[in-house]
Amino acid sequence: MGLLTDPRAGNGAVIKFVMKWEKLLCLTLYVTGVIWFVSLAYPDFNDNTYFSENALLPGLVTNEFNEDGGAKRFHDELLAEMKKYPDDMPYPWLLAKFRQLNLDVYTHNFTLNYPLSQQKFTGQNVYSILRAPRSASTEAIILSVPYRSASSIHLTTAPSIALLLAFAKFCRKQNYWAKDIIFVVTEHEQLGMQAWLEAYHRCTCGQDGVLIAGDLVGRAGSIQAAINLEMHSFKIGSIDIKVEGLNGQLPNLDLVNLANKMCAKEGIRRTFQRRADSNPKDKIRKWWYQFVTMMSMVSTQATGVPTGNHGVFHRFGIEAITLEGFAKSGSGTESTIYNIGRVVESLIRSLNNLLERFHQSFFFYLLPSTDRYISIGLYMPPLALIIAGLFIKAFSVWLKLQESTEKKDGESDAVKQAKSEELVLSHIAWEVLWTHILGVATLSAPRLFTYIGIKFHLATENSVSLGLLLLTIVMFIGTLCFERYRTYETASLLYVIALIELATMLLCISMHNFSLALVAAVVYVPAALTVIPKKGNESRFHNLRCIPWILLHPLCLACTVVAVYTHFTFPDYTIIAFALKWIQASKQAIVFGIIDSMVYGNWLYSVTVCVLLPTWLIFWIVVTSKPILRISK
Amino acid sequence: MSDNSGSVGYDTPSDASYRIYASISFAILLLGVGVPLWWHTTAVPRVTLPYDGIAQLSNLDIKISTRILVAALTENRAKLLVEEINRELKSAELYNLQISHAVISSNLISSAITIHDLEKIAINFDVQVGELLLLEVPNLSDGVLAGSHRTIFFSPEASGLKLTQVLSNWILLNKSVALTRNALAEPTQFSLDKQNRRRFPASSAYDVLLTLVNPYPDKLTVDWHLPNVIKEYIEPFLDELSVVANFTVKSQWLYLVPLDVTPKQIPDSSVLGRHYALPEDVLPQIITPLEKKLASQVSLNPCINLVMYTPPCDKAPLHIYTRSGHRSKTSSNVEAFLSPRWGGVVIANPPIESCIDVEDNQMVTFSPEASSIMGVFIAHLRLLLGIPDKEPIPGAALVRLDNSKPREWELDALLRIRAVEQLTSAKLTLQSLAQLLEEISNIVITDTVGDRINGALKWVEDSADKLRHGKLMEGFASSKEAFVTAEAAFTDPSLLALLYFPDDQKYAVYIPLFLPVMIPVLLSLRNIWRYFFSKTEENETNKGELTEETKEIDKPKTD
Amino acid sequence: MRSWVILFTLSTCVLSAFSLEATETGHSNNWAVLVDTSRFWFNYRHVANVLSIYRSVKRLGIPDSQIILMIADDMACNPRNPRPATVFNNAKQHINVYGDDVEVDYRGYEVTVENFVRLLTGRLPPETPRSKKLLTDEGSNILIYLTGHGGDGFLKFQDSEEITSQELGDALEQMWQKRRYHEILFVVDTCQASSMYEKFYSPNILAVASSLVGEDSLSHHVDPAIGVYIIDRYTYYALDFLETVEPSSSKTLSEFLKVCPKRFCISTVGVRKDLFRRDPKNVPVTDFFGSLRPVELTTSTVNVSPVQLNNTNSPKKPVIKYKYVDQFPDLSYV
Repeated sequence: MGLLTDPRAGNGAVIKFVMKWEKLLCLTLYVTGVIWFVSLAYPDFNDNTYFSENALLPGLVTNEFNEDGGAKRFHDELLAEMKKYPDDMPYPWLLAKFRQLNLDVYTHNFTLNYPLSQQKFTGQNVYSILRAPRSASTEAIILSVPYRSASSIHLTTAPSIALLLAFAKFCRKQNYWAKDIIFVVTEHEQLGMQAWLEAYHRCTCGQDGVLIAGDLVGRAGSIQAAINLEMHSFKIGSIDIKVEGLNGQLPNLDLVNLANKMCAKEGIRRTFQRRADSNPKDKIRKWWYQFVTMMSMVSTQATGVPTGNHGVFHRFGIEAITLEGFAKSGSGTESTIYNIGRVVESLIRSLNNLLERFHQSFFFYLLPSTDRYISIGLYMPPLALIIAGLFIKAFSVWLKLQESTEKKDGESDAVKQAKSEELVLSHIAWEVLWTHILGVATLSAPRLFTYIGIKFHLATENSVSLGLLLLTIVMFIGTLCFERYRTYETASLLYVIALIELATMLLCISMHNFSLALVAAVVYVPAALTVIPKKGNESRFHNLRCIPWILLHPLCLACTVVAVYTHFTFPDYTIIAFALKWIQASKQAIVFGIIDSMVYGNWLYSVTVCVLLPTWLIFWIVVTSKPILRISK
Repeated sequence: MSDNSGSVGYDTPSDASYRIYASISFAILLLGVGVPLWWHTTAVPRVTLPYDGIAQLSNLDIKISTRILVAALTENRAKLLVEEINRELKSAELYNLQISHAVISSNLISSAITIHDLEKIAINFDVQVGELLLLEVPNLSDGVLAGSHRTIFFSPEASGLKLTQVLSNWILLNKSVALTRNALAEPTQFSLDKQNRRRFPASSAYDVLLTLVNPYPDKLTVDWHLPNVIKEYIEPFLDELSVVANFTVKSQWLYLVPLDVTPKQIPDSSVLGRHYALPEDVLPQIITPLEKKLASQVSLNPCINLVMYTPPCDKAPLHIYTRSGHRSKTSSNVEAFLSPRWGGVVIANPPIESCIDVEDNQMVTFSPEASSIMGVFIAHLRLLLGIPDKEPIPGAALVRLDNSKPREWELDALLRIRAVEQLTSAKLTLQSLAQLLEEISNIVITDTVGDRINGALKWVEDSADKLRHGKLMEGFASSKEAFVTAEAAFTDPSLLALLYFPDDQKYAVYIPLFLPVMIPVLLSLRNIWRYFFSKTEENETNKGELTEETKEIDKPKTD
Repeated sequence: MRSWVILFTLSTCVLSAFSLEATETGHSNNWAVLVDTSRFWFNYRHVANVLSIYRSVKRLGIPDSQIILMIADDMACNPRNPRPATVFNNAKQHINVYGDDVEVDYRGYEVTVENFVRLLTGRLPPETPRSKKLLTDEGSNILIYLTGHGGDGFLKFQDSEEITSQELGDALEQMWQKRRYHEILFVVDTCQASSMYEKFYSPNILAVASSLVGEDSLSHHVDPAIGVYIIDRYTYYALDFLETVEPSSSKTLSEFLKVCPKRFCISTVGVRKDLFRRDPKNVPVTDFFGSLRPVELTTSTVNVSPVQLNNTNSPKKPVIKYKYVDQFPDLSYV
């Protein structure tokens, strides 16, 4: 059949089949998708990790790191300094240490204009560059440590700063560096790192005027990879390798493998998601263990919030991981700073061997344990199956709509039909338009809310959450009061549009942050599939379909998720204490989401508000609309 | 086509015709414009080549016509000799001898006493390049005497067999010529013998590099003016050979390059009481390290290395010992060896007299005897350039060379051998190139290459023709031209231009690009066809049946 | 050995055509084309391979002017090399194969398939210097040694292109037709190396490959100080053998073919003898790995009468005193 001469593809057996078995098909696809995904953690369905990049040459050199004594001295001095300045970073001491090693050392100042209030925060990073002795400064590797002052609520990182200095001392003596090594000590956790990276690349990732990164005095070449160290103790029991970055971006799997292999070589216990590999003989138990690890990764990744300083590197095309060392708990061997130094040496030396950026191995993967991986090719089909139901549903509703119009058109004449169609189309366009405009308005609303909130002397988080809550209530009332009567055709067409938008959004998100897409799909797909526009002859229980949709409002959903987290974090709270904590946490979570999008460019809030919320609204309109008879009848 | 009912009926007949015209314009654009354009832009530019002419080269028969005039005192003798020579040399490959005879009066010869006089008489005969005069001289001491021009003198006693032997082995070199051709044409069957392997391969230009190696300049000063020496000895010789090729002569001094081997000291009865021995077996090991320092690779032409080595007094005299344990040359202070296709080395020892009573580190000045050294170098050059030594024939002699210039008949022999060599090489090159270009169809053949191939073919034919007609000089010139042009055509850098984009890869690139577009276009051709075809039918049938008919036609389409 | 040093006597000139005897070598010079096709630090071993062979053939007498050395990367000056300006082929660092006097003819990005085929077939631009040309003739024995990453029927160049065995076979055939060689010893140390010589069809080629089709050629050992694999197995054992060869020794090619049995190489060494018309048992290794030019003693001279030189003592040149020119004025201050 000449495609150019026939615009209508065949409406044969396939279409009839889809229309007949639509419900069962959607259900089967959803269930199959979920089961398939769950079974991916089964050892037979995933693979052992392996190195794809030849240039890494992992672990071929004899390690020569021997500055553990130096590290000890640095550590002692640093602890003394930290006692002197419990709230500040001991800049002079750090600068002096780097200078004593004859390294270029610089400081970097940055300012954060807190976007939801008129506050200003400043910070200072210290960094030092070891120039490669025999090559042009075109490439660089980063070794970074977040500085945590004695008063910080986080676990200390003083041992890693000592290690960083000791390693810098070691590197200074070697002549085989082909890339510059940048040692960075940052302040204010990820904010410092983000500011430093923005200054290094002379760009702004979040909103203009929020994070003022300034400029750097010293630069090296393009950064190939970064290792972030968070050693909480001078002697450690295990190293946790953290990978999840901003917006769910992951580092190249080769880098993760490299870190795992080097730890294994030094005999250090390594964990992923704080879970050490367990290897029970029973495959089901093993599956369960790996499944929990995998789901742990999914839940962390889905938030789009980096788990460490490494997370802000990924958007710059820099592969980065965090090695977090925990003090020994329970039984097991203990590793000294000597071993960790050797791990770092092997890592940096392998990275030094790199000739191109990491490109060989996977960028999209899930890890069920430290040495097994599920590639994008394995995990995408289940998600695609889950989402496919939406398209099938949309298709079948569309077909049914065609059939019903045709049946009616049999009698009416063409002019009238065209007129009514135009009417319906403009209605639909209007509905779609206003929902999306509302979404965009919500995106830019928080600044307004805080501006108004200040007048009422409200705290930022209160004004923001209150504003959002009010907005939601207005939306509810609006949709319930006005224009509830719609023809079945209009509602169906809106439904089709909402289905397609949801499905497309999920697919797009899955390309960037698979976990988020998966979680969203598992939650929204069944609800979306059960929506049926009213024809006028449904039972009264039909209205019950509204309830899940209320729960699925992004705000509600966010609060639900926070509730679950709070419950797991504080299991022993009473109900009232829990409720208070929950409300507080929810407010904070929302504000953090907004701040993240403004400072780091985290798009979770933007996508939720701009795409998910309008889609939800359309679904809501479809669910709550009441049928009217056609004018033509 | 007014359309069916299965789905929404937006189509009107005018829509259908628009669609058809749209697809027609697609089809015309793609098939009418796109495909020819693509074909033209991806076609490999190839000049047409004379494949037939090159194929016929395998039948090319090289025959060198050579005129020989036998001038005897009596007609009988002359005829007999002509007959005898003809019979003996009939089988000579590549030669087409035209032997004529003449009778001379003894008065003419009797006045001549010296060789010089004889040569003067011979000039009276009109002997052109490549021709030969056999002149009978009554009172000749040797049976046969080869002159320095194109004349061979023979005594009345000399037999025809002897003359034939001289002709074949010294002058015509028919076996060498044949072997040269065969070794080139069928290298698996034939291989050059030692004599012919010594010769440098054919080239249009050579470098002659004269190097004086003085390993210990602190002990020995060599007083020699190389430019003068070259001017006086080498240039006259090379001038004679300038028809064969262009020569560039260079000279250099090398200091502090000692031998890699340590000669053994051997006591003897001389004034110094010792000499140093260099066994023949180690000579090859001398050349390789020397070669590194010679810088002979500065030009692209084949380089003939002439190396003179002067040992200092405390390491002199240095003598070469043969494998059988004797000194290679007992008389002279000059010893030499030659490496085929590379060059020659002369060891020039300072005279013993000047070395007596020399204390350590005392400077000795040494003025080498130019004539003896250059004599060796000229001998080397003759061998390396293709003038072989004449194997002795009892009863036959050669006029001594009294200067460095080669004999004229030697030059003719060289021309013949080079002509055959270049002609065969050009022929093979052309055939190989034609085969390559025929087999691999996507090699670009530029105009330059095409011109060269055509030119080379023309020169080859021309050269063979000239040689067949006895014009040796012109035949040689053509063969040189053919050789150079064929070589240039074969090694033209443009011939590699498209080698890495063969057909299979070409289609592998284009099919994924074109197929998705072409399939709908091609398939719609059928509909276009049907549209117009059925329209003509429609005009014939009445209009009432129109809708039904088109529906019927369209039925299978909806499946 | 004896067969190539030819004693010169006038009487032994045999002017008749004769067929090649099995032991007769008939070559007049030796050339070597040594190619490392892979770049990047982690391919250190390939550079070490080719430099080791280079060292061996040079030691055995092939002059630099007759060695075409193609090296795709500069390991000695790689900033990752802890020992600058050295390349070792052994973890014990016995020999710095990048010692003095290494003449690389094609380096870095010049090592391409195109240049390699151009080199073999002689189709080089006219401005090419002599050191980049293979100026062989019908009397040349050529050693071709290739190392790099290969697959079934191809050898990768520079990690970006590859030469197929068919292209190589065609190039060699053109060399043969153009009488550019007498015999070739073709040695290739890559994975699936034997696939490289399967498509050869020109006579007088003896081909040796480090592994058969379907096998990988493995590296020999790591130098933990440098952190790379330092040499490949086949080349390692081949060098072991070549170190025992002297220019005058009589080791034969058949011994060379047996240098790396499977228990050493792990891969099977492939040999193709059908194109070679001599028995490797009778061919000295030095026919390919060395170069000793045949030598003839000169006994005859041409009598040249001493020419009365017009100006035996050329006018002595006045002694010129050289001095440094003034420094070019520095315009940066203007």
